[in-house]
Formats: sequence, structure tokens, C-alpha cells
Amino acid sequence: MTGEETINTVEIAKGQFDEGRYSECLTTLNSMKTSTALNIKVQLNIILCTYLKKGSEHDLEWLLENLYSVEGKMNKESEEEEIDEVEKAVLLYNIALVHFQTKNFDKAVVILEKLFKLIEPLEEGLVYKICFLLVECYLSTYQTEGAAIVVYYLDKQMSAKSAESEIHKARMHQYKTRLFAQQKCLKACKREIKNVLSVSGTTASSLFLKSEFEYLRNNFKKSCKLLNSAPKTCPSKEHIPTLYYNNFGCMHFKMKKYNLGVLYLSQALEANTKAVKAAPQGCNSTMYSINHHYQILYNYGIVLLHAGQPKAAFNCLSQAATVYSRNPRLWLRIAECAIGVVKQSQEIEQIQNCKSSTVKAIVGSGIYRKTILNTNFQNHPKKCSAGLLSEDPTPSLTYAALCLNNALELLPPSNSGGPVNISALPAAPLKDVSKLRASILCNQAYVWLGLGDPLQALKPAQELFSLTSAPVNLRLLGSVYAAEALILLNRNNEATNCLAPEFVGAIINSTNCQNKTYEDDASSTGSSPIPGKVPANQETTVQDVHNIIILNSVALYCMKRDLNRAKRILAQHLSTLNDMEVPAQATMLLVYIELRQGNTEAALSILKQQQINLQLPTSTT
Amino acid sequence: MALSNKELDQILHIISSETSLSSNLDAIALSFHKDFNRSEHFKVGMALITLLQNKDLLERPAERIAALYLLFEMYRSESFSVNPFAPLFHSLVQESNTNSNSKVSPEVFFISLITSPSARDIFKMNPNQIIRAAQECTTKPDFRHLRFTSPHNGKCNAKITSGTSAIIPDSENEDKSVTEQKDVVLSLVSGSHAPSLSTFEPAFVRPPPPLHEDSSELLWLNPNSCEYTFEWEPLFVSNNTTEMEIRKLIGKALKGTLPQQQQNFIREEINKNPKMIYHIGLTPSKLPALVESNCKIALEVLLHLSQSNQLTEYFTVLVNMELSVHSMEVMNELLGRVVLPPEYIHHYITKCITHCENCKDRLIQHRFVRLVCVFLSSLIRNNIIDVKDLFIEVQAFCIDFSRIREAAGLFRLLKQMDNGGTELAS
Repeated sequence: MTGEETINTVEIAKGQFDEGRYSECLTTLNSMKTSTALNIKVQLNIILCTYLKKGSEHDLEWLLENLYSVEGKMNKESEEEEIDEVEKAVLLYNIALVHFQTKNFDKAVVILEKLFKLIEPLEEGLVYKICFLLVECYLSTYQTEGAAIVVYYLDKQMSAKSAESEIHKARMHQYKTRLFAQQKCLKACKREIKNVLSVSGTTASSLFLKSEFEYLRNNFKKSCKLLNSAPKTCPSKEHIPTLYYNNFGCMHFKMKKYNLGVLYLSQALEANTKAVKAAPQGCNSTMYSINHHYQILYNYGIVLLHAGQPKAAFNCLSQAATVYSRNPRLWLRIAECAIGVVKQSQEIEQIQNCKSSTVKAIVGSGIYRKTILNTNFQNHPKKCSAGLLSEDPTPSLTYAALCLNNALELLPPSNSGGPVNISALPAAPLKDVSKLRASILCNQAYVWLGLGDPLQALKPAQELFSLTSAPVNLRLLGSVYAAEALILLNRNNEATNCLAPEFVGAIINSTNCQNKTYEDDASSTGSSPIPGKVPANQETTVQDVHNIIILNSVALYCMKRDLNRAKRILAQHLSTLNDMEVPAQATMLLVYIELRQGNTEAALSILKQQQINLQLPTSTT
Repeated sequence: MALSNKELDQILHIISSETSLSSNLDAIALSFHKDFNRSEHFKVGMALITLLQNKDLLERPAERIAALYLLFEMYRSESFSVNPFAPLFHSLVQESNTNSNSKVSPEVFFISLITSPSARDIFKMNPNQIIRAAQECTTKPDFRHLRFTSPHNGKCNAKITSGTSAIIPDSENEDKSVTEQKDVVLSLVSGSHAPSLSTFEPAFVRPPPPLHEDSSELLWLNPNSCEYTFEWEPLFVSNNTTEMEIRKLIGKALKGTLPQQQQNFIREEINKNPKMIYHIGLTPSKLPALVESNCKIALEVLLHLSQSNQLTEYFTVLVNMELSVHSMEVMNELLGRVVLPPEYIHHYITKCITHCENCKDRLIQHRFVRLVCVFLSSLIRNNIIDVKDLFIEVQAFCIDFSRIREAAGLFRLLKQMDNGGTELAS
């Protein structure tokens, strides 16, 4: 084959490749007999075509393996000389693309960042491809700073050659919209969305972007309208219904309509599975790129947890954790699921075969009649199996303790001030972890008390109540848990201090500005309830915890045999409540005091009064 | 941990049948041990306590004595203070102490007898006889020999010791029936959650933590409209041969001066395809060699690199390489055509001056001073550097070498520029 013939053959092959006729291209390439220097490059194209051709049985793993083996060969050949990265640029880009498609963003970013540094000598087309893929990887992993640098570079490049870059304009607007949304620059984001719509029209992706923008601003009506108006197909083969259901799930979660959220996300999972099955066989890039299984599973688990289905949530989130194991908030959520499962089974036990929350049963008749009190509400720690933490993902308190340890490990040390940037994939990174830390500590104290280890429970409980950046209700819970742990450790005086009105008052009053806004948020959403909202049974307000603290201090005085003082505090507290609001705990404490003082009749009449109150129709209030 | 129906029958027979109540305590103990083994003692004891605490369920004094005796008998081999039922004995004694009634109850009387270390005869008595003896007794029993484990001795936990029975007597009328009594007892002491086993404590409520609040936790998904495709590995056949040739020539050029024809060929090809400079294997570390042997080619490459962000790397090498006629020539040419950061230029000038001062060979020193002077004059005349920035340094250099004609000339130029500057300023 002469030089000129070779040139012709190369041109033909390139043309076939560009038109996607990979099988023909393969034949052309195989017909070439070339010098060794060229041979390796022909080989690379053969690998690409073999993977890309219709009906190929090779997958991305195969492609990656072969690309890496050629890279190894190139390194060996150029051993004597300095390795010329520029020579390998196309190969490196292709390797990065495989990593991207298999969602190994970190590996892709490492390669692309290296290429971005030596971008000068590269062909313009390749430069754009590298930059675009790098921006995509950055945005997929919420690395906004990196994305901003590349976007700025692209802007500069394109303004220099405005004519050629017209085709890339739509793409740039999309990237910028996503970038500004991640940076929470809503004004700039809005401007870019306008550009997206004017350049690329009302495509699925532009309408979804606009819908997300409205979702971020809590304009759910608009957001919903936009999603509904989006076309149901997309040129990139993305399965629109999957994304549609997922986003409706997100929206309903934000509106606190958790059961609807569960419904939409289960539909999203189903749609995703169907779409993946229906993806064209052979070319599994498509299958990878449209598969959002773990992302949806993550969303689904969180919404299930809020909808009061901790067991199902646990199953989803522990699967998601195999992919997103560096997310501290996810570990907290799994612990919350486990706690929820244990709590639900306890609740069943507590009222199982019981007449009410105070009276278990009334047995016998005549002179022999007995009222039997319900003692199931008393905290009896479940025996922890030899103090070992269970490694199996089972929804137990021991596993919850392990998850909480993981979560805390992933946070920066509590004394390291300044802004943080903790990865919380698949969602945006955490900029402020103080509330997350408070929640983790709160759960830790609770779990260790449940496992019957007051010493382990005491540390997080004390750290929590002294954490000024934590929400007040959690800080108060910290003092409740600390008091219980101290009682179990027979340090009654310290326990009394934890529940003392002065101590509790100091926590409530030391609320800093940040927390005040947090509470304002809560009250503002509360004042305009969205119809169909799930009752706020998962929310524990400051007032709730405060009431518990008062009753627990009464219980503590009972334990210390200071019945008169206990009775006085209890009476004072009950005078602030109306009959309908008296919790079972208060009734039982009152009964306890009367029984201890030998007033059986009084105790019985309190119980009977409470039964009557419970039977009153609630509509009277 | 609770009694079965059959076990309840057995224990009730032992404590309340007429034959039992008329047999002595040792005999009662014997029949108890026949029916129950040691591992069952505690649960039987818990049931007996429930019966003792509810007088309507165990009415006859003799039955109560028998029941109390069994509670004592179960742990008789050990010290009384470790008997798990000792608190019941304690509370019965306390009750009688607070009671103003001067009469001693048979139960308290019995407790005082069995717990006293000297009592032996009592075990030969039957419950009925003990009741009679109690009725005859007029002195208050003495409990000083007994050391009850106080629930508040500090070693015991307040939470554990504050429990009380979960069963409250709640009689509605005086109706009595034997079968009813038996049923009530059964429902109190049997079953897996027998009420006799639970204690009623002041409950300390442990509210579960609320779910962590975070509104930005979920992941919104957008369809990706941007496609990313694999890139064709370019196969430059024709260019490649030229490139290979240039590569080879550059390799030669690092070792010695190339013939004019070859130099021109390289410069032409680079001008035709400037991107080639990245492919010819010329790394920054190789630049000094190229400058020394083929400075024209080096200049060409550097001029094409001036648009690149890699220029600084090459330039750092150039500024720091050993001073020579060639490197100064390249610098001079480069500065005339490319704008470079002033700190690089200043660094280079300082380096030139130091080099002249440190040169030992007078002849070579002369040559370099003349070269530096020409170089500086050209920079000043072409306004590439601002004289003011380096005035003192350059002036000192001129005075040092004032014997050399070029230095004197540079000094004059310096003065001229300085005056011009001040004139303009004033």
C-alpha cells in the first residue's frame, strides 16, 4: 500500500466512523497494513468500533480494559523518551468518557483535569469535548468551583470565535443554568433559563430546568405545571417518565405530603426498571446513562422514612449506602430507620392486649376485682448482645449505633471552625453540618440508652445540650437523655441539675439568631398548612420536650422518695393543661404518688377519670 | 416466668389445704421441695407475694403464715439479707410499726420468730399453732437482730428500688365466690406477661429523636440533553512523516548547529503548522541546548509558544540558563516582539549585571560588559523597560565599568532619559 493509498483509506475510515457505520469502518481499518507507529492508533480505533458497532456483545468494562492495555503499550514504547501526554490525549479522553458513563466521576475528573492543563496544542474539537465532559463531571459531583473555571475558559474561547461556536451555545446555557442553580445564584439562574429557552426552545431538558428552578423557590404550582408541559421524549434517549415521577416525588416531599411522595417515587423506580430493560441491547452506554436506580432508591428511602414506613425505608437506604457510602446524612437516615422500626415494634407491644395507655386490664368481679396498670411504657433496655455492634444491615439498635458512628466519622472535627464542604452525594454537598451533628448526637444518646449503656449515652447527650449551634428542641432532648443516663449511673443529683428549671431556661434563652430563624421557618410553614399534610407526629417542638422535662423531674423526685415535692410540681404543671391534653405519663405519676401515699381510692378515681376523658369525642374541643 | 395452671394448683394446695395447715412447717417445706425444683423458686415466690399483697386472695391467717414461710424457706440456706423477698418482710414489719394498734399481727410475730437465730422449735409447729401463739403474745417483737437491706443504702439504684405492685385492689361490692377468686389469682400469676411479674415505677419518658430536618436532601433529576461521544484516534499519515523528520532534526539541532537549509526547513514547517511545536519533543528542559546551538530555531519556537499558557515554563528556563551571546540574542529578539511580565526582565538584567561583576577573565568580562550595555541601550531606546525601575542598579554598573566605552555611552543615555523624565515631570 503506498502512502497515498493509506491516506485515502484513513479518510474513508474516518468518514465511516463519523457517520456511525462502525462495522464498515472496522472492515476498512482491518484492511490497513501500516507502520508500527501508526499501528497502535489503528488498533485503538478498532477497539472503539468493536465496542460501538451494532450487536456488539462487549460492555464498558471490556472497553476500559482494552483502552488501558493500549495505554500501557504506549507507555512502554516511549520509555526512552519523556511520555508525551499530548500524544495520548484522545485515548485519555476516551478512557475518561468510559469512567463517566460508568458513573466513576472521580476517576474521570482526574484524567480530564490533567488534559485540561495541556489543552493548548490539542485540536479544537477535542478541546471542546474535554471541556464539556469535565464540566459535566464537575456538575454531577457538585464541584462548582471547578465547573466555574472551565465554563469561564469556554466562554473566552467561544467569544474569540463567535461564528463556529454557535452550535455550542445551547449547551453552554444549560451548563450555566445548572452551575448557577448549584451555586444558589437564583437571579443569574433565571437569566440563563431564559437563554436556554430562547436558544433551544421548549425541549424536555429546558422545561425540566425551569421546573427545578421554581421547585428551589418553593413555587410548587408553577414547577408542577412546567413538568406537565414537558415533552415525554428527549433526544438523548433519557427516559422522561422516570425523571418526571422522581421530581414529583421531590415536590411532594417538600410539601410534606409524604404518602403521595412515596407513591410517585415507587412509580419512578418501576419506570426506571422498565426503561433499563428496554434499552437497546449491545450498547450499554445507554443503559448506564439512563439508569437512575440508586438515585431514586435514595430519594424513595428518605420519603418512606418520613411517611412512617421505616422498615421499607431501611431496605432502600441500606442499598443506596453501598453506592453513597461517604454521605454522613445517609448514615444518619439509616439509623433513624432502624430506630423507627424498633420503636414501631415497641409501640405495638405497649398497647398490645392493653385496655389503654394507663390500664392494662381489669380482672375479676365483686370483692376480687383488680385494676392492673400498664407498665409497658417504662423503659427497659433491650439486652445488647454482648455489647457487640452488629455489622449486618438489620434494623436494630446495635446497627443504628454503628451507622451513627459512621456518620460522625465523616464529619469534620467539631472544633474546626469555618465553612465546610462535606460531600453528600447523590445530593449537594453540606456547607453547614452543625444541625446534622446535633441530630447524630441526639440519636446516639437515644440508641445507647435503648441498649442499656448509660455511660456511652451520656457523652453525646452532654455534648448535645452544650452545642449552642444546635436547634433548641434537640438541646433539650440532650438534657432529657443525659438525666436518664445519670440516674442509671446513680448520679441523681447531677440528673436533677439537668432537669432543673434554671438549666432548661438557660438553654431556651441562649437560642442564637441562627436558631431563631430556623424556628421562624418552622412556624411559618406551620401557620399556612398545606391541605392533606401529614400530621406533625414526627416533629417534636420545644414545648413538647419542655413538658417531658417537667414530668421527668417529677418522676425523679418520686424515685428520690420526695413525694410531696413531686406532687406539688405535678399539680402546678397540670394546672396549665386542659383535661384533654394530660399525657398518660402525668396520669401514671399521679397514680404512683397516690399509691405510695396509701391512697388506693384516689389512685383508682384518677384512672377512671382519665378513661372518661379519653372516651369523650374530640370534637368538643 | 409465670406459673401454669397446674403449678398454681400445686402451690395453693401446699399453702391452703387443711392437711397442710395442720402439718408442721418442716412437712410443708418437704412437700414444697417435692413439687418444685430450685429454678422454679423465684417465680413461685413472685406469685406468693402477689397473694400476700392482696388480702382478699389469701384470706385465712394460717394460709398467709404458710406462704410467708415458703418465701423464707426458699432461700433459707443463704443469709437472710440476700433473700430477694426480704423487702416484703421489711414492708410488713414497717407497716406494723406505723400501726398504732398495740396488737401484734400473726405475720409480724412469725417473721420475728423465724428470723431470730435461736429459733428451732418453730419449725415443728403448724401454721394454726403459730396463729394461736401470736394471739397469746403481748410483747412487741424485737427486730434488732435483723439487718434489712435498706432500699436506700446507696448501692441500690433509685430507679430499681422505687417500684411498686402494678395490681391495685378495686373491689366493686362484697360479692364473694370461690371459683371467682381462683380465676382472679390465675389471671394475676399466669401467662407470659403475668401482672405479678411487673412492677410499677415512676416512668421516665424517653422521647425518640425527631427526624433530622433538611429541605435540600432529595435529588431532582433533569434529562441530560448533552451527549458525550467517543473520539476518533487521528491517523496523520502524511503530516506524520514531516513531523517525524522535524522531530529527528530537532534531536540533531540540540547537539550542533544545523546547516542553513535544514534550519530554514524547520522554520517554514513550524510556520505552516504551529501546533507542531507541541509534537516535536521539545520540552522546556531541552530549550537551553537548542538556544546554544540553533538560536534562530529556538526563537521561532518561543514566538509560537507566546500564545500558550506553557510559555512561562519555557521562559523560566530561558531566564535562568547560563548567560551567553546566544541566549542574550534570543532574549533581545524576543523582548522586541513579545510583551513579557516586567519581573522576568528585571530578573534577567540583574542576572546579567551580576554575571559581569563576577567574571574573572578580564577579556571575557569586557566582552560581556559591552554586550550587556548594547542590550540595555536597546531595551531603553525601545521603551521595553522603564529606566526608573532600575536606575540605581544600572548607574552603579556604568560607573563600575566606566573605562569601557559602551558603559560610558549607556551612562550618558541614562542621564539623558532621566533628565528628559524630570523635565517632563516639571
